[in-house]
Amino acid sequence: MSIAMEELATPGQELGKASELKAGKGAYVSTENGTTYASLTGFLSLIRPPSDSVDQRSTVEVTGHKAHGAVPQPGSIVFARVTKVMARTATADVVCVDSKSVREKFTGIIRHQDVRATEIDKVDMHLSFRPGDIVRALVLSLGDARAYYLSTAKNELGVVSAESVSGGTMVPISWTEMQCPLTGQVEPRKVAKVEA
Amino acid sequence: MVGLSVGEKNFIKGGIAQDLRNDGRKRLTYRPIYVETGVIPQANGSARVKLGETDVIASVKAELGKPRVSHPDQGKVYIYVECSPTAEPSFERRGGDELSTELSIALERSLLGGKSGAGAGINPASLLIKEGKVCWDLYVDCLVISSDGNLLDALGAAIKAALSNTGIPRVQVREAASSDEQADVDVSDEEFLQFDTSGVPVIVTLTKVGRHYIVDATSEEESLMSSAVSISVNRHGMICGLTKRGGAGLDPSVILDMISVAKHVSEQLLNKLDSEIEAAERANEEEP
Amino acid sequence: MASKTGSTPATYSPSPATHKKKRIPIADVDWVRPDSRGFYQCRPAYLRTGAVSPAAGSAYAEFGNTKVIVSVFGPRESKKAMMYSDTGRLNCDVSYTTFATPNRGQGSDKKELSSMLHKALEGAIILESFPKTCVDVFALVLESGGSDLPVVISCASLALADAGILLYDLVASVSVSCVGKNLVIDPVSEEESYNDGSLMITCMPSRNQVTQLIVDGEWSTPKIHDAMELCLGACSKLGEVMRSCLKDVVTDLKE
Repeated sequence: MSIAMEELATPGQELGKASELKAGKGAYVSTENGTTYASLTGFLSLIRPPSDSVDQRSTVEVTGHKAHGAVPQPGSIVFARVTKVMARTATADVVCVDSKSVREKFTGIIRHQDVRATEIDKVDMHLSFRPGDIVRALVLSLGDARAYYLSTAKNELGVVSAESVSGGTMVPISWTEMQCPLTGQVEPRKVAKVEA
Repeated sequence: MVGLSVGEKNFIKGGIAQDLRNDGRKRLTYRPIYVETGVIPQANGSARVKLGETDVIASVKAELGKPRVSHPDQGKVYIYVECSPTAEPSFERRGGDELSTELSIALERSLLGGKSGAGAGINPASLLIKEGKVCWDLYVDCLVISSDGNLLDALGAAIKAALSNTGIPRVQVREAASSDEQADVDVSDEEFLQFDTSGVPVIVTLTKVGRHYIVDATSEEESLMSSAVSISVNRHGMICGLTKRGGAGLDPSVILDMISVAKHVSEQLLNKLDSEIEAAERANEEEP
Repeated sequence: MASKTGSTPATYSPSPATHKKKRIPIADVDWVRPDSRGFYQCRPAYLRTGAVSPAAGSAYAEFGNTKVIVSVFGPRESKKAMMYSDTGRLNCDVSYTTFATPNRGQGSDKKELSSMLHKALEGAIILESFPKTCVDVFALVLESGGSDLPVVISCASLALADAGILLYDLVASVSVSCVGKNLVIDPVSEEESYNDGSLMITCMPSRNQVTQLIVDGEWSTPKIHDAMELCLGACSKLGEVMRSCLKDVVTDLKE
C-alpha cells in the first residue's frame, strides 16, 4: 500500500525520525542522530506496513525522476550477450539488470564450473555458448577487478536467444539443443527454460 | 596498508576511548622526538627527524633565481616530498605519488602563508636580493625513509629543524651598468646568514578515531581514522594553515574544539622541538 | 532560485546575525570591493542542471564571472584496472579551458584541484550503493573569476544529484579571504591574488557536517571562528539555492 505525496525531496532533506519512519529506496537513516533523510531528488511516497506486521513503522521512499543507471549486484538476474568463449570461461557483456537496461558497459564471466548444476566436470564451454547468444544469468559475486562472476547453473538460466550459423533465430528443442527453423540444423547450447 | 582484524581494531579503539593507547601513551601525547641536524653536507641545511618509527629527512638548498613578475619583492620557496619505496613497498613507482602531492600541498599551505605572503613561516621578502632581478629560490626537499603514521607532523618538524640549520651565503649586488641588464652578484663563500625560524609553525595532526581524537597517530591507528585535521600553529598561537583529510564529515563545533586542543598541544611540541634542535645544533658544533 | 533565464538571479548571503557581529575598522571603511559588493555579500548564483545531455548528470554554475560546467558519468566499470574494491569509487578531474584565465593556459594546478574535489565529495556519496563501479566527475572551468574551487564543488554536487547518485546530502562550498583586517566572502580573482589568508569550507548543509576545510595564511582563533560562521551561514543559503534548482527541474518536467 503506498500513498504518493505531492512533495518533492532533495538529497539530505530531513524526512522524519527513524523511530517513526523506515527508510526505503532513495532514503537512508543516519546512525548518528537517528534521523531519516532523503538521498535522491524526487517525490515522496509512504508505504504503510501490513496491519499484521510487528513493526508498525511506515516506510518512506523517494522516487526519482532520474535514477542512476542500473548496476549489477550479487543476487541480481541479468541478461548478457556472450562476446567470447574460451575453454574454461565465457565472457559476456551485461545488457540488462533485473528489468532495467544498463547505460554503461559491464563485463561478466561465466566460469566452467558455473555453467550448469549437474555433471559439472563434463561441461564443454564450446557446446554451451556461442558468441552473440543472449544469456540469462545470476550474478554470483562482484568477481575480480575486471569482471562480475555470472552463473547459469539453474533450469531457468542459460541461453534464451541464439542465432544459427545461417542467421535464423533458433528454437529450443531440449535442455542441451536448439534448432534452426530455416535449415533444421541442430546446435548444442545450455538452454534456459523460459516460462511463458 | 595495515591489515587489522576486527578484534585488533576494537582493541585499539577501546584503548583510545579509555585514554590508554597501545604504546602506553595518552591521547594527546607525542612519541619521543629525535632530531639530528646537518645530515646532508651538500645542502645548505638539513635535518633528520624521528618520531617513533616514522623517519624523515628534510634538506634545504638555496639557488639564485628571478622573482615572480606578480611578486617582484619576494623570493620563492618550493616544497617537495618524496616517499621512498624503502618506507613502504606500496610507494613503489607511482604508488607514492598521490601521497607525496598531498603532503607537499599540505606543507606549502602551512609554511607559505597567504597569497600576499602574510603569515608565512619563511618570510619570502627576506629571500630577496634585488627587487625584480635576483632572489633566492629555496628548495625544501623532504624524503620519507620509514613511515609509521603522522608523516605530516614529522615533515613539518624536519623542515623547521632544517631551516634552523640553514646558512644562506651573503650576497653583494654589484651595480649593473644599465637597469635591464642581468644584475651582477657576488656570492660570498665565507659569510653565511642564519634564518629566523621563530615564525616557522609546527603542525599538529589530530586524528579522529571513533568519538575521540588523538595526536601523533601510528599507522595502525591511522587505518582506523574517520577523518583527520592538520593544524599548523606558530609561536604566537596563530593558526597558519589547516588541512582536513579523510572523507567523513565533522561537526563545525568539533573542528573549533580541535583547533583549541591543537593550540594547547602545539605549545608543548614547540618547546620540545626547539630544545631538541638546539641540542642537535650544539652536538654539531662540538663534533668537528 | 529561479532557474528561468529571464528572471533576476537571487543572491544568497549569510544571515544578518553574523553581519552585525563584525565591526569594520574605520580605516578600511572606504575600501570598496572590485565588484562593489558588500564584504559579506556573495555574488549572484546561477545554477542549472542538465547542461550536457550525453552525461548521466550535469550542471552549470555561474557565480559572477566564474563559470563552471560539470558532468557526471556512471556508475560504470572502472576504466583503470585498479585494485578490487567492494564499494563504489569516485574519480574526479578538474580542468581549465585555455581561455579561462587572462594569460592563456595559466589555470591552477589541475592535480591539486582534482584531489581536493575528490575529498570534498567522497564523504557525501553513499558509495555502498554502487559496488565495484566508478562514478566519474569531470569539471571544466570555462572562465576563472575567483573562488573557482568552491564553485566547482557546489556545481559537482548538483551534477551528482542530477545523475541520481545516492547522496547523504548536497555539498555546498564557500570561501572567504582575509584582506587586511577584513573578511570578504566569495572573493573574486583580484581579491584572491592579494589576500593575506583564505579559508574554504565545504559542508553538507542539512547534516551540519564539514567535509573539507582548508585554511592558509595567519589566523587568530576568534577570526577563524568568525570566518567559519560566515562560511557556514553562506553554505546553508547556497544549499537552499541548490535545492530549489533541483526542485525546479522536476516541476518543469511535470508541466
